[in-house]
Amino acid sequence: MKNGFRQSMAWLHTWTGLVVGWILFFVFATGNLGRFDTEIDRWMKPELRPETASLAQSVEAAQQRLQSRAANAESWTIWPATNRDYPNLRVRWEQPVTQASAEHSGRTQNQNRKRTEEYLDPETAKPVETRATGGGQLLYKMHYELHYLPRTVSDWLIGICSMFMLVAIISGIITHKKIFADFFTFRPGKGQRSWLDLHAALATIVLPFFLMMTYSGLVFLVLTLFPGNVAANYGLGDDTRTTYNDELNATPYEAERADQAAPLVNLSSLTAIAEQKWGAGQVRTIEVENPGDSNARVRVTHLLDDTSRTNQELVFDGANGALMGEFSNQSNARGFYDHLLGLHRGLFAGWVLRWLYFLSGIAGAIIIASGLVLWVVKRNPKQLKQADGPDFGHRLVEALNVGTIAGLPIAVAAYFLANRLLPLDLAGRGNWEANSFFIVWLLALLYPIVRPVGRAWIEQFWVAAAAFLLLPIVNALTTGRHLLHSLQVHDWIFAGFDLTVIVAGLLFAWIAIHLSRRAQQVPAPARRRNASHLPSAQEV
Amino acid sequence: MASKASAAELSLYRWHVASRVFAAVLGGYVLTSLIGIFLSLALPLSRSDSVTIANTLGFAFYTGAIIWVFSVATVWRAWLGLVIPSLVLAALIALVALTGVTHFD
Amino acid sequence: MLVSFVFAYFGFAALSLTKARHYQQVWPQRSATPQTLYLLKTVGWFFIVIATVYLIQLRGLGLGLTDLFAVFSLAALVLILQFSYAPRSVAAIGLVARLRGQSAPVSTSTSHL
Repeated sequence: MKNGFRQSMAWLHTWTGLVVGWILFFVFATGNLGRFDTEIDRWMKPELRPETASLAQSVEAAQQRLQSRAANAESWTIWPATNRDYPNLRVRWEQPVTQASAEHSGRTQNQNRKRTEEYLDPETAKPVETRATGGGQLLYKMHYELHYLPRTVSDWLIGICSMFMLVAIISGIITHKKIFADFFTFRPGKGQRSWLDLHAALATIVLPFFLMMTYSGLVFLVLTLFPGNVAANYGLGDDTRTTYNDELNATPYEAERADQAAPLVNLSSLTAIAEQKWGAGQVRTIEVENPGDSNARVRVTHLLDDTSRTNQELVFDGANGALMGEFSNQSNARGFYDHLLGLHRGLFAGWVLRWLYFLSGIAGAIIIASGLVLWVVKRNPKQLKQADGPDFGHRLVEALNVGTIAGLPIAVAAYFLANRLLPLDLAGRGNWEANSFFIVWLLALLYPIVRPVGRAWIEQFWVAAAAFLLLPIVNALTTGRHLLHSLQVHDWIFAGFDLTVIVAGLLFAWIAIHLSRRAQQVPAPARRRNASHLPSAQEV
Repeated sequence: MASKASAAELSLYRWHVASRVFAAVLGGYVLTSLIGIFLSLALPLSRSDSVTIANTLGFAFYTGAIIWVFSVATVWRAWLGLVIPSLVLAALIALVALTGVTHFD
Repeated sequence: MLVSFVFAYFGFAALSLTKARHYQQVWPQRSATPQTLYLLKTVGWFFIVIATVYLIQLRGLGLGLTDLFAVFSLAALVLILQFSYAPRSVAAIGLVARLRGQSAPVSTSTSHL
């Protein structure tokens, strides 16, 4: 029975992998870019400059702005520029909304709250004028929201694809029977065998990462995918999700609005106390509940220092500044949940670990890509021998492969190019940057209609190379912050971005050269007949 | 694998595959939902904690069920293996709902 | 992290050498005796355990395991590249480690002298 089991797992692995491979490639590509979402944000908003204001100055500027714009808000949040995730001062306020406007907006997580965010200049306490752009945040959001789709639809689509991926991973493990005999083999230059080796070797190397990301990714969507758990305990009303989240994240000293006005204490005095306790630069956020009320609460939270999504916090009475307590909210259940999701987002990661996450994500994309290519390569010998040429399904997979694997990088470059090239006063500019992404991707998907697939691969990789290498040039021409300048002033974000896209461009050029060399080595008439170097399609 | 089989055998094979897919995807989903609901009601923890645990573990159960459906010997066994536990859990959940005893408090 | 990487690398190197295919890659003329295999397995697992304990001790459970998997992945990557493109180098590292007095995968072969 063992052989049958492994074979059925192999069958399961192939088909679950194929059906969702292209969407998952998109999810991996955009999600991986999200590792550096803040850095990409900064590059896409060249008007923002690196900040040097002190914590006290930032907090005071934030309080000033929030007092003038959001005095009656339900809550405020301030992100001073203390760590990698928040390189620029940012504020947010939340206001409850009426039912009518809640139905209209429909995209916020908490259906009955409206959020507004701004970047502030700590010197002037005024919002910074930046070009309208989705930035790196939008790219990162695409990996769980897709785009153009209502949230529920995208939740289900991504949930289903991720479930397929999880099954693909487990069945892949079971199928890779020689996992410890064949653990470390990669044999280049052998056609189908090499693709399989690449697929299996990479997958083995990043297996823990892959499992963790897929599983935790699913847990992010659990409230949509398995609503029964909440419903059984909290009922079926509209706010049950909110109620559950509030209970889960309940912190002590919470209080309802007392409807008695009381001026908010000076926040920078509270952050000074926090810095005294924790050390300089350890403040992550300042949250104010019920600002301007006698039951105001101020929570100063600590930077993340482990895989959890939350850390300890100091709670102050907002009206008189008294310290009410310090605590760290962790029931075991919530702790496990927090650590799981925290691992996925990786906000705790320093530079080395962040780059490792990123490289693992690239490996993940290559694993998916090699699996998709392997599917085609394995079936090519039989398909190409057919009298009428390959089946429609086969050609469809080939076209989707080249359009996605080679086309998506072009789309990413188009998104960045659009950021620099679209006129600053264009209405809906941020949406048009995203539209450029999808328009280019669509063109790449349609390209194999007019070109033979082999040529399409090479040509699209050349376009990707050109597009990426063009980016630093376009950057230099449209803003003053070109690569040499960035290196001079030690602006590592800008320099890092420019250097990374150069490396990416060179990589795509190398791939294009490699593919065209291989195409030239095999003479054209024989190419179609000898598409595989293997004597027979081997069992996985 | 079935290239030399008669048309009838091929058709049967395809029905079996479709049946297993159905069982795995939908039957597995139902079973997982029931497991989750039961756990979230029965665990001796606060309701937010119980729901969280059920939420976090659910996908492991679902994956296990799917793998099981494709590895078990016959299609009948696959369906039975999903339906029977589902009925048992549904009964337990009904019991909990009727008696109002949740989280053992 | 570097220390744990070294541990993980030696651990995986030793364990991979217990597989006939990889042993043949490094020492084509020979096959391992049962004693060698036993030694390689013991040493290999020993280093894996040491790497795990070391990291969890140093960084706590959450971060420790995260770093551990990162280190495992890197060690596996290095070994894959070595076995695919330069299998003999795996023996060289073992010899160097032995010369430096660390307990390294012991081999009965002297062909690398």
